[in-house]
Amino acid sequence: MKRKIASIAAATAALVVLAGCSTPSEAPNPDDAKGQNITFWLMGVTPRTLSVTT
Amino acid sequence: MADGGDTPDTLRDYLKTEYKKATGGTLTIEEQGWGDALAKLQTALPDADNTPDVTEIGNTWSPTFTNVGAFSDISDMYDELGGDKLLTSFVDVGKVDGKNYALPYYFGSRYVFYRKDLYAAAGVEVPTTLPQLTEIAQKLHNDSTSGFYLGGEDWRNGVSWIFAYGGDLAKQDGDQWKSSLSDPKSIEGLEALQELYTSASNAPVTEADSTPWVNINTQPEAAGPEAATIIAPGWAHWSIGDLAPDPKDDTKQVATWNDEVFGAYVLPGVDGGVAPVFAGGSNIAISASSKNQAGARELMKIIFSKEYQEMLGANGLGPANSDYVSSLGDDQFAKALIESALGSKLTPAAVGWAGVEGSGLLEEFFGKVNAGGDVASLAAEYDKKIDELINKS
Repeated sequence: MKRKIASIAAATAALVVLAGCSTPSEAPNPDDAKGQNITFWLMGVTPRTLSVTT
Repeated sequence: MADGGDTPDTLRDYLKTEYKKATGGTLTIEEQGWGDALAKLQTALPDADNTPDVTEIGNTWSPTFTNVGAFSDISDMYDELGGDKLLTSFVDVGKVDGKNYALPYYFGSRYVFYRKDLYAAAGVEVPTTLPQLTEIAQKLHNDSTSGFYLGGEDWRNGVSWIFAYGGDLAKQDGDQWKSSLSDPKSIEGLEALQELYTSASNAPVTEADSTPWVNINTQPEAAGPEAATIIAPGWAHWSIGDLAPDPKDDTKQVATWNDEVFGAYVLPGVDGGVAPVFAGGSNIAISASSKNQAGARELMKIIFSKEYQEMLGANGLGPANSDYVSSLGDDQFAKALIESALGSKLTPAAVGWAGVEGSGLLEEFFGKVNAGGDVASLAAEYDKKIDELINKS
């Protein structure tokens, strides 16, 4: 139970941190994209091959 | 949210190539597991030095992030990226005060996979109602094979029984949400789920993130499969079939679908038709703290292009733009995906919903129900616990 309460508290604390985010107010100049290196987070893996389980 | 899914390597390579062509820059794709992605996003998004510039998110997490300003306002791009052709329910959970912060990436849905060979041997047909499904599962069930394999804590599949009986996880009253597990219709659905689990599933009651496509396949040297019937996201069909060693990697197996052995059908409703299932799929957004806003917007243009949308469909992921749904094809999987997605439901668009999911309360609740607990008293207990989180940003 203690672990559960701790995890709820951690999730809530992280959301409070997120509340400090501020959204950019203006669209950027498209020319600024030239040469920008960016990172994209994608979720999960489609299990089209399966680990051997036996 | 979502679960599973996801973007095959050919699509990832396409994005990298097109991004390079468009900007001259490098697109780095970092893969995150669904299990810890929520916590990682909560830490990374406010940190300009470590945030992803663009991120996929579970569709049900959108309200939590959009309401705290974690994403950039992309309303000015909305029409260019598809506008009214984009999946409305996913667009809506990514909006705040009429502005677009997160847009749909792909949609998925859940349907039923079954063993034709076991159904034939038992002399049972594909059910047309949900109570019939339970009866059939009970007939097929024995100590080594679940008539219907379903993890006890697997709420993302189990919630379809609440939806099917007309219940819901929470209801909105003004600007507040209240957990509605105690609603009589929710109780009815939970009792039906409990009957199915306790009489026809050998899956552990503590199993939350089920991989039932493993259980419906016949593993090497096993006498038979562990499951006669499962429910899973549509993309699971890639992992269901006759197993053989992967010629590229002998530590793995490849499943080849076999129409003689395996089949698929949509989860039937209580009185027939199609039951509402939990919608799968993701949204996508630009981090508000990204230092590369212009590059991130270029990537969004590539993702919402006709070419990429059709690539999603060709790989069994429902395109965000309805103009390209035909790219899913017309095989049994595409038909089941579209038919089940039409009536599918999202989790509540409450600001605190991601907190509810992150708390593990739903896993606890469904596990206790499926362990045979008193549904009404458990529902009352967990309504209170969920109400403490569901409106918190």
